[in-house]
Amino acid sequence: MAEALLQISDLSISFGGGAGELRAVDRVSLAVHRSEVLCLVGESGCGKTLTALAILRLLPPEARLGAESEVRFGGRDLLRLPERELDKVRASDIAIIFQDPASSLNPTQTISRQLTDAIRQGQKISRRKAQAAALAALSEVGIPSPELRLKEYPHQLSGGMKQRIMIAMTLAKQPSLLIADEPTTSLDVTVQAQILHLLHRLRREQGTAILFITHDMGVVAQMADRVLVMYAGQVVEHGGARGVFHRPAHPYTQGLLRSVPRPDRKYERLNVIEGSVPLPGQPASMCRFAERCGFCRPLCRSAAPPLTERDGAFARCFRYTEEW
Amino acid sequence: MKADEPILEVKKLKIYFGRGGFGGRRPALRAVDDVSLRVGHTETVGLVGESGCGKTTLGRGILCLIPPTAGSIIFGGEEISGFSQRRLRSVRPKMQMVFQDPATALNPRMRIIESVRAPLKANGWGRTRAEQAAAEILETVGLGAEHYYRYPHEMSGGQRQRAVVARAVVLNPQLVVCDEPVSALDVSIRAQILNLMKDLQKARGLSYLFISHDLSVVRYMCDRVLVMYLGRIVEAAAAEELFAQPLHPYTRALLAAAPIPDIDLPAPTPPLSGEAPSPIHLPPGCRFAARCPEVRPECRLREPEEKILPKGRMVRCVQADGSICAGPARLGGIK
Repeated sequence: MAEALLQISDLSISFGGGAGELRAVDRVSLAVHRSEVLCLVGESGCGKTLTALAILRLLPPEARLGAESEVRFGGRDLLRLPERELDKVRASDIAIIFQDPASSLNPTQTISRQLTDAIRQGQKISRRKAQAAALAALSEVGIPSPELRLKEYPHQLSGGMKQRIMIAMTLAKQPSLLIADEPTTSLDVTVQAQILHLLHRLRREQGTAILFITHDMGVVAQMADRVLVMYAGQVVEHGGARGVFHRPAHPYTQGLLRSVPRPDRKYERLNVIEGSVPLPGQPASMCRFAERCGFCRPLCRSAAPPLTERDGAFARCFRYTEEW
Repeated sequence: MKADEPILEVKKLKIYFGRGGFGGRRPALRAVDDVSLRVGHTETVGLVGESGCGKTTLGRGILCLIPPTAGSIIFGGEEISGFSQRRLRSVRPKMQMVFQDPATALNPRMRIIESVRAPLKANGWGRTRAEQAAAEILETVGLGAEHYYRYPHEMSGGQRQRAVVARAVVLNPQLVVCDEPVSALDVSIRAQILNLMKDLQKARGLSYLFISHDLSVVRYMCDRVLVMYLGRIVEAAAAEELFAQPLHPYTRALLAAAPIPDIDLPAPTPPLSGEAPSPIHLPPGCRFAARCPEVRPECRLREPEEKILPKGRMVRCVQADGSICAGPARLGGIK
C-alpha cells in the first residue's frame, strides 16, 4: 500500500500532572490516505476533537503530548516541526473547519478580506488576483450573489452560509487534507445535506482527503470510506465503512448502531446501551467499556484488551483474542 | 371536562415580536402565525421544523411563558391565555417543561434533590413530604440515593437530563412540553432518555408536546406530527401517515435530507437549495415558495389555505390533494 497522506502514531494527550494526570487521548494511531474520507466517530469527551487539534498543534497550552506521539505528514513529523514551517503547512496543505463557523471567522473583517488573506497566505499572488479567486470560490460553494456577499461581515450571514465560506477558503487553498470537526452539527438537516454534498464534490474534484469527525452514524453512512470509532480516549474499532456497518466488531459499536433510531423505521422500543461513559482517569488495566458491556467477563476487568484484527478490521476487545 | 376533550387546544395563536418601531412602521417578526393544534390525553404530538421556524416560541407560548399577540390557549377546558400571573400559578403545576440542555436547566448551586423538590415547595408542600416525593421520583427515573446530594456538575449529561425529567413530572402534570430533550445528549444516552419518557407517560398518563428537529426521534416518540415552517404549521398528520406519505413538499424535503445510518443507501442529493428566509419580510404567497422544488406561479401570489383531508390530516399547499402523492423514493418501501 502506498504511503499514507497522514499517519498518526501513538498519540497521547494528557492534562494535569502527577497523580491527577488525566489521559484524554491514549495511544491513538490512524492513517488517512490520499482522497479518502476517514470518519472519526465517538461521543463527547472521547478524544476525537483533541486528536484532530493535535495534528496542527492547536491544542490548548495546558495539554501535554506523550513523548512517543508522532504525526507524520509529507515525510515530516508535524509535532516537531519549527513553528514557521508548520505555518506553511497550515496555510496550504491542511485545512480545518469546525462545528461553529462563526468562531472561525473574524467578526470585524469583511468576508472578502478574510478570504483573500487566506488565499495569499498559501500562494504569493496579488490582492486583485486573490480577490478573483475568492469570488470564484464563493460561487463554487453555491453562495448566491457572491459579489454582494464578499462585502458583508460574518454576522450578516446564516450558519450554513458561514460554513460555506469556510469551505470556500478550503477550496481556494486546494489542500491535500481537510480536517472537518462536526462541520454540520449546528446546521439544519436540509442545509446539512447541502454541505455534505459539497464536501463529497471537494473530494471528487480536487482529490482532497477528509478526516471527518462526527457523532452521527447517519452522516458516517453517507460520508465514510473507512471508520474509526473512539471510546474514552482510545480507538476501539477501525475498518472499512461497509464492514463496520454490516459487521460491527466492538460491543460499543454494535450497541451504538442498534440504539440509533432510523427515520424510515417504526420501533416498538429502542435498544439502549446501559450506563454512561466512564469519567477520564479510569484504571488503565481494564477494558473501558466493561461496565456497559453485555459480554463482559472477569478477564475484561483484569487487563486492558489489545486492538485485535478480525477480517481485515480491528477491534479492541478480548472476544477476538485467543484468551477468550 | 369531558373525557374526549383534548388536554390542550390552541386556536389561531399568534406570537409577534418587535412590533412597531418608531411610529409603528417597523414590521413585526411573526414567530408564530395563526397556529392551531390539539393535544389529546396521553398523546404525544411532535412539532418538527428547522431552527428559527418558531417551534420553541410556540412551546413557550403554550405554557404562557411568552405572552401571545392573539389567539387562545385552552388547557384542561380553561382559557388560560388571558390569565394573570397569579391565576397562572394555579395552572402551572399541571403543565411543565423539559429543556434541551440539562447543564443549564439545573441550578448549579442546588443539589439534585433540592432542584427536584423545589416545585413541590413552591406549591406549599412541607419539607419532609417534599423530600420523600422527590426521592421517590428520582428513584423512578433511575437515580438512586447516591445521586440525591450531588451537584449537577458531578453528574453526566444523561443523569442530569434524568433529573430534569424528574423535576418536570414530580407535580404530576398533565402536559409536558419537551423542547429538544435529547439533542444535547450523547447518542448512546439518547435511547435511555427516550425510553424513560415513554415509560413515565404510560405510568402517569402524561401528554407530551415533543419539539424536535430529529425525524427519527419524532417517529419513535410521537402519535401525531406537526411540521412547522416560518411560523406556520404546513402539515399535520398521524406519525405513520406522515412518514409513509408526506404531502407537503417541505415535509418531503425534510425526510429526504434526514441522514439514515445505513451504508447501503445512496447518499441523497440535497432536496432543497438555499435556506429559510427571514420571518420579518415574508413573501406575499406561500412561505415555502422560494425554496420549493415544485413551485407554481400561483404559489407566489396567494398563501395557500389549510386543506383538511381524511384521517385528520391537514396540509397547506395548493398542490396536495391527498391522492397524487408518492413518498420520497429513499424512504418509500423500506419497512
